[in-house]
Formats: sequence, C-alpha cells, structure tokens
Amino acid sequence: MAENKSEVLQGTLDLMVLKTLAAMGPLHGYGIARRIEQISEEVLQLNQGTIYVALVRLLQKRWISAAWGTSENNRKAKFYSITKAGRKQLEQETENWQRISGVIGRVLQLSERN
Amino acid sequence: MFDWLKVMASRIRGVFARSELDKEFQQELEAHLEMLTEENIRQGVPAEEARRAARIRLGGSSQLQETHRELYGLPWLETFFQDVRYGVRQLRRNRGFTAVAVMTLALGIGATTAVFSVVEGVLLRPLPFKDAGRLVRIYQSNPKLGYFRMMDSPADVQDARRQSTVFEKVTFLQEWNATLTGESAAEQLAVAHVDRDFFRTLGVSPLLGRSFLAKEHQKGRDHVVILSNSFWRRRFHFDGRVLGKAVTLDGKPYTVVGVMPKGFLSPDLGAGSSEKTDLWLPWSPPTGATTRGNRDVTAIARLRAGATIAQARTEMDAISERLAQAYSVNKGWRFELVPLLDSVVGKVRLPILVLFAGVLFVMLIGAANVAGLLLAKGAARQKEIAVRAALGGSRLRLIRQLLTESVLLSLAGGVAGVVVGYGGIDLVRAIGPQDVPRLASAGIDQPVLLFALGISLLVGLMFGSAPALAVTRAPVAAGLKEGQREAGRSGLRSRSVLVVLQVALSLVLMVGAGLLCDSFLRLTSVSLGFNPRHVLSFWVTLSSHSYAKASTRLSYYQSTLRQLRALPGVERVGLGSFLALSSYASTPVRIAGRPAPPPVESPETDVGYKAVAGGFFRTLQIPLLKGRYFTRRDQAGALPVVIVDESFVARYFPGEDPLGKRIHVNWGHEPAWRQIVGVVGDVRDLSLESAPSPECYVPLSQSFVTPSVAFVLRTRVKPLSLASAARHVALLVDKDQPVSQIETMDQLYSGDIAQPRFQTAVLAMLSLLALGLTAVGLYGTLAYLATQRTHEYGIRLALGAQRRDILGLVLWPGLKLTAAGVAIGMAGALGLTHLLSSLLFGVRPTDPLTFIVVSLALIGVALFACYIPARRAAKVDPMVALRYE
Repeated sequence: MAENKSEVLQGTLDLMVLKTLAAMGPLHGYGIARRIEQISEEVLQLNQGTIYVALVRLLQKRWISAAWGTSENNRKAKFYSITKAGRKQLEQETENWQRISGVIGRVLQLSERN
Repeated sequence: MFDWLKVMASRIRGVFARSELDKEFQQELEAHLEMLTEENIRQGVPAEEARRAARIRLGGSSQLQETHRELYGLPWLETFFQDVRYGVRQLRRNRGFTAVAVMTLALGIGATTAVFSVVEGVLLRPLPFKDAGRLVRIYQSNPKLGYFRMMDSPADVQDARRQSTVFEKVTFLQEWNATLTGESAAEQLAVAHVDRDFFRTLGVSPLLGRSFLAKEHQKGRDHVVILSNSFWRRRFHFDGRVLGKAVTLDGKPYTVVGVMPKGFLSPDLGAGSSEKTDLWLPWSPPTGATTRGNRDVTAIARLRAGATIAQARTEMDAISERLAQAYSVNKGWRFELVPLLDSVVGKVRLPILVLFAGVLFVMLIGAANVAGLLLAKGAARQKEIAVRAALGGSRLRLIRQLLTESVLLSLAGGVAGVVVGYGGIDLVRAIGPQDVPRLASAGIDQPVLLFALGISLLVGLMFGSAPALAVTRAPVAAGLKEGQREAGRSGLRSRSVLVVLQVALSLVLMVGAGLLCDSFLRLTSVSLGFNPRHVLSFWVTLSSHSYAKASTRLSYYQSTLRQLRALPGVERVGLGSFLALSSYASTPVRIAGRPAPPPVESPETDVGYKAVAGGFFRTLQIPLLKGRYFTRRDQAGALPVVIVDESFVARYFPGEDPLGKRIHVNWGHEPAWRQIVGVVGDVRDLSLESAPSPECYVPLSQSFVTPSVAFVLRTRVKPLSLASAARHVALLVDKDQPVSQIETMDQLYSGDIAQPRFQTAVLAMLSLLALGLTAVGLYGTLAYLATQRTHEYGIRLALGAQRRDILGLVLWPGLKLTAAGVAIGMAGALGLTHLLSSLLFGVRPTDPLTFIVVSLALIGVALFACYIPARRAAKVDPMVALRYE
C-alpha cells in the first residue's frame, strides 16, 4: 500500500518538476523545491531531498539535462533544464493528468448525488 | 519506448563513475544546504539553529547519498562484485588451501573436459553431411543363421528403393581397392563404387566438376572418377585443371570429372582414421546373372522430412517379408535400419562413455575433498560468520557470500582445467587406439568450453553448498561463544557423508577397472596359435589386367617368394590368401560319405579357407599336430590335398582319425574333393575375442590362385628393418604391382588389443587416482575429528583410558564410514557393471572374486589412512590435550 502511494507521489513530483522547469527555465535543485512549495502556497511541505531523487530519475530518462553554473548569490550549483523529449513527455503527462483528474472529479460528483 | 535502455545505460555509467558522481552529489547537497540555511537566517532563525533546520528540511544526507547511489548503479551486481572481491581476498589469504583446491579441481575438470571433447567430437557431433540426422544405414540380418548387420545385396537395395515410401533417397557404395599406375611406383588405392544419387543422398556436392551422370552407371561408360581432396593434393597438388585428365586404374584409363571438398569421407570408411577413400567411381551392375545372395555393398538412405526411423523400420520389415517370399536366397533375411551416426560410432560409444563416467567419478571425488577442506576452513571461520550474522547479515546473504567463494575456486580450477584438457586431448590422441572414428576432429571448441564452464559452476555450487549450509546453520549465539565446536559437529556430519560418497564412487570405479584388468589379462594370455614375433607381412594385389591367368599369378608369387628368401636376415617366407588377425573368408564344406548341408551360408556350416604357399606354417610357427605340412609335390595336377585345424576335427571328426578323409570345399574353380593330409593348431583369425572356428588350408598351386595375397617373412633381425628391402624386392619383380600394409605381426597384434589395453590402462589409472583421493579425504576427515576431540581424549587419558582405547576411538568411526561406503559402492557396482559386459572377455560383470579383492584393497587403504590420525591422537600428552582449545 505504502509503495503504491509513494509511486503516485513520485509520478506527481516528476510531473511538477518538469512543469516547473518548463515554466521557469534552468533552475537548481533548491530553486525547484522552493518554487513548488511557493506555488502550492506552502501546502506541500517537501522533504526537499526527494527532489533530487526525482531529478536523477528524469535525468536518466533524458527528459532533463544538467550543467554546473553559478547561483544568484555566487554559489556553485547544478542547474537543470528541460529537454525536447522532456517537453513532449510533459505534454503527454499533462494530458493524462487532466483526463484522469477529470474522470476522478466526475466520479466524485456521482457519488455525492447518490 | 526505450526509456529503460537509457536508464540502464546511465546506471552502468554510474558503476564506473562512482566516486565522481558521489562527489558531485555531495557538492550539490552542500549547496542546497547552504542556500536553505541562508533563507532560514533571512527569515530570522538564529544562525546555529538555521543550519540544523535546513538539515531536517533536506532529509538524512547519508540516506539520500545511498538512494542516489542505488539509482546510479546496479545494486545486485555490485553486491556480487563485492562478494567476488571479498572471496578473492579470502582465497589469497589462504594460499596453500587455494593452491591445493585449484589443482585438485583443475585435474578433475581438465580430465573431464578432455574426455568430454572426445564425447562431443566423436559421439555427439553430427556427421559432416547435410541434415545428417536423417541418414540411416541399411543392414541385412539373418538372426536364424547367426548373421547380424551384414552388408546388402545391390538387388535387394534396389527393390527396397522401388518399394519404400519413407525414404527420400536410397543409395549404396561398394568399397574396393584399385591399383594406380603411372610415372611413379604403383600405389594401392581405396576406392568406392557408388550408386547413383550417392552424393545427393549425403547432400554434398563436388568442389570442382560434377557428380556422376545417370548414364555413367552403365558398363562401358563408367570410366570416370571423382577424386578425394587429399588425393587431389597428393597427386595433383591442388591443380585446378585436373578435370578431364586421365588416371590409370588397374591398367585402364579413367577421366577425372570431379573433386570432392576437404573433409568429405565415405560414411563407412569415415569410421577409420587411417583408411580413407581416395577415389569414387560409378557403380554399374555386374554383367551376367544377378547374384542376389552376394551381400557386398553398404546401403545408405535419407529419410523423408518428417518420417521417423520407426516408420521406416515397419515399412522395411514388410519389404523384407515380400523379398523373402519372392526369392529363396532371401529366406530369413531382413533389413535392419540404424542411424548413420550410430553405425559409425556405435562400437566406440560404450568405451568412451565408460571413460567419461570414470573421469566424472574422479572429479567428484576430488571435489568432495575440496568440499572437506572448505568445511574445515568454514569451522575456523565460524566466529567471523557469527559476527556477520549478528550484525544483520541474513543467512541467504551469508550463503551467497560463501557460494561465491567456492564458485570462484571452481572457476579458477576450470580455467586451469581447460589448459589441462588441451594436454589431455593430445594425450588421448597419442596413446589412444588409432581406429576410433573422428578422434582427430575432437578438440576444445565452443561446446566443450561451454561444458567446462558449466561443469565448473556446477561443481562449485555442489561442493560449496555443503559447507555453506553447515557453517551458517549453527545458531548465532553459540557461534559467538564457542563456535568452533558447534560448527565442528555440523561440519563433521557433512564430511562424513562426503567420505562415504567418495568410498562408494571409488569402489565402483575400482570394480570396473578390476573387471577390465581381469579380462585384459585373459585376452592377452589367449593363445594366438602362431608366433607373431619377428614376422613381417605385406600385401600384394595383382592387376586383373596383366595377371589374368592363374599361371602368371603363380609364377609372380613363386619368384617373389624366392627373391624374398634370398634377402639377408630372412629366415623363412610364405604367403597366404588371408592373414591371421586381419582377414578371413569362409566357404561351405561337405564331407565325403555324409549328406550335403542345406545350400545356405551360415557360421555353423561354413569353414574358414586359406590358400597358402611357401613355408606358410613354418614361418608363422603354426604347429603340426598330425600328418604333414604341404610339400613341393602338392602341385596342380597332383592329388588335391587339404590341411585342417583342430576345431575342424572337433566339429566334423570327433574321435575319428581325420587323415585320409575327403572333404569338399569350393572356392573359385578349384578341384572340389580334397584329401586331408595334416592337422594343425587353431589360429585366431579375426580377433582375439572370437573363438577359433574350423578352418582348412589348401596349397596355393592347387587353388585358383587368388590375385591378392599376404606375404609373411620370419626374420632374424628386427622385422621392420627389412620393410623397404621387401618392398623393393616385390617392386623389382613387377613395378606395377603395388605393395601395401607393410607391418609386423606384432603391430597387427597390438592393434588388436589397442582398445582394450587403452581402456583398461586409463580406467586403472583413474581408479588409482580415485583411491588416492579417497584416502586423502578419509585421512583429512579423521584428522579433523581427532583434532576436534583432542580435549576429550585428554580427559579420557587423564581418567585412565589406555592409548589403545583412543586408537579405537578414532579408527572406529573411520571404519564405519568405509564400511558404509563399501556397502553403497557394492550395490552401485552390481547395478552398473552389467553395462560393461560387452567390453569384458571371459569375466562375468558380477565376478565375485573381483568384487572381494577390490573391496579388501579399498578397506586396506582406508585402514591405513585412518591409522595415521588415530596413532597421532593416541600419542597425545594428556596435559597438552587438556589445555588444548
């Protein structure tokens, strides 16, 4: 059970990371984590380390790429950016997500009427 | 789509860039922490608190590092490498142990690999023909008359071809000799007359030129020839313009129409490594009346795709039945089908498999010793294992670690074994019998290497699993406290099982070797009936063209005999139409005054027949028992005479005086009725194994004078030193008549016993090796037991036990193990030795004497192996023993 849950979460986190990179351009791990937390209006309190697990997974699938750069306060940091394959994947996943969340929404409405 | 491939690639890269990736990730996390800390400080968290909060927010860095590592790597593979590294370290730490173990395994695996390469190359590999699995050999048998797997008559084969439906093609060949003449000295060639479709049946096309045309299988148009590759090389030096050239065979010109590719052999001749077909000629039906009873061709057929040999057998049985009804000479004869490969290697299959079993046994016994060593070592490592278990190493993980070690050991043994195997194959080829088909092509190739790898892994897992299970079985707490003893118990039990197994395997092997030795001794003490020492023999075949008349043949023989006799060093000379131990012919016989036997051939009614000249009997020293040898007066025109042997007298004249009796033997156009003038001793004609059969000798000058004879020379010097002189003399008489098969009778004799000698020697060697290894195993086990119980012996001695009692305490378990092994081995041997029966001569497979002698020998050696540790244990000083821990 626990594994299933984390898997859903994993997928979701991957999707959020991809979307963040697509929207914001190259970012380092900390930036991505902060951005996701801000957008969720601090509802989502990440164990920020898990971002890196998601990043490795995405890197290995070549959906994002990484390069060392300098952060806004002159610190050496690894910057991630989305690749072409990543954008395609994001498109698909977004579509999937919307379809599924639509279905779930309808199902939930159904159960309310009964 | 290929995401998993990308992931895999990245993981594999990760394995190699491990330290760099680790460092980078560390840096990345560090940067993250610092940024988080700064953010916290900006939000007003005190500096010392900010760093801690950042850490919490990020999560456990070593855990993250671990997950990262797992993502960038192949965890199971890395554990494996870790095990391997650890295993190698262990093995290097115990150099002595490793050397002994690897050597034992290398010898075992090497010997097994070498013999397997023979199994693979000789028995398993398909014959070099297209779809060779569909080729069958067709024999004809007549069980009632005692004829099994004889050759076929061409007419019967042709009928079978017409009537059968299961075969795609049916063909046959007839092996023959031909004399090649030309610029150089005449040469005797092995030729095969082949029926149409012969090459197509085998699915092999000529390298150059073409195969025979249908019209070339007719008399008059059949003067065409296809060369073997080796003949092409020898005579024409690979000349590509050989097609259309003429070769002179038996005085007649033949046109070369084709050359076969390298490695193509006639299936039957392919059996012998020495005899190869030089030329193929088209077979054409003999002129005159067809003689259906002449079974002188080798028939081969190709099954239709999808047809089974069982179907073919059923159909051929029906055809045999029809032929038997139609023709009186076919009464009782039926076709017998055997897969072609079986017909080629059938005779050597059993000896080779026996050898293979022998080396497998020795390898297992050796591996058991290594397992014993590992067990002893495992006991010493009990503490280490217990610590690892206590720290959370699961039993499975520990077993895996220990198995990795033993497999490493066996793989090392396997690699060394392949090297040993290379040498082993050369050895087998050098000392093995020469007439094993396809032995030359056996070698270390891919299947053999795979076998060596497989067997190494298997052996490693097998001998590794006993110690691995034993060592990890002991409870952790006990292992930590006084591990040695607990593990010792469990290890000892495994070792005992191993030793019993070793004793049993050795006994089986030794019984097999004992039986073979016994029958070999009987075989070599068989009286040949003649003296093979100092006798040179060679064959001459006269061409039917220039020696058409009997008188010209006789004068050639007589002048050659005369000239040979004049050679210095020659004591006596003679010649015979057939030679003991190599060739034989039989013919029906009638006794004057008795009813004629039925007109069928059978071993029971036929007698052997030889035409002899010169001092044949005196040269071979075949003793005269009664009457006289032939003399000069027994010539053409004089009273036809015959000499018979002991078996002949025993069959036809038991209790009578055979001298003066008249018998009728018919060979060619000869005077039929002959008077018996002498009785000589029996001679082993075909081989040592076959009992002598009745035989008669006639003077060559009173026979039709066969065009092919063997000359025999008894020499005062080394017979082979006269070989070239004898050949020279024969060629001097007529340079166009080829001399072949120059060899000593001793060589013929050792050729005859080469196979039994080889298999006996090898099996005896293997069983000695097994015995030695078993003794070592037994010794090791008891020595280990004695060491384990030194403390106990000390107490016993201190309490007044006698040294004799201690001796017994060690000897007794050793004897029990031996007895158990001998009992199991006896049962195994009784179940297995009957498989040997066709290799045995004059000994039954359950020969009680062999069983008893072998068991006693094994028990004796075992006692000795047990006695050494027992005596050492009995000599122990009680004070030292008590302190021993």
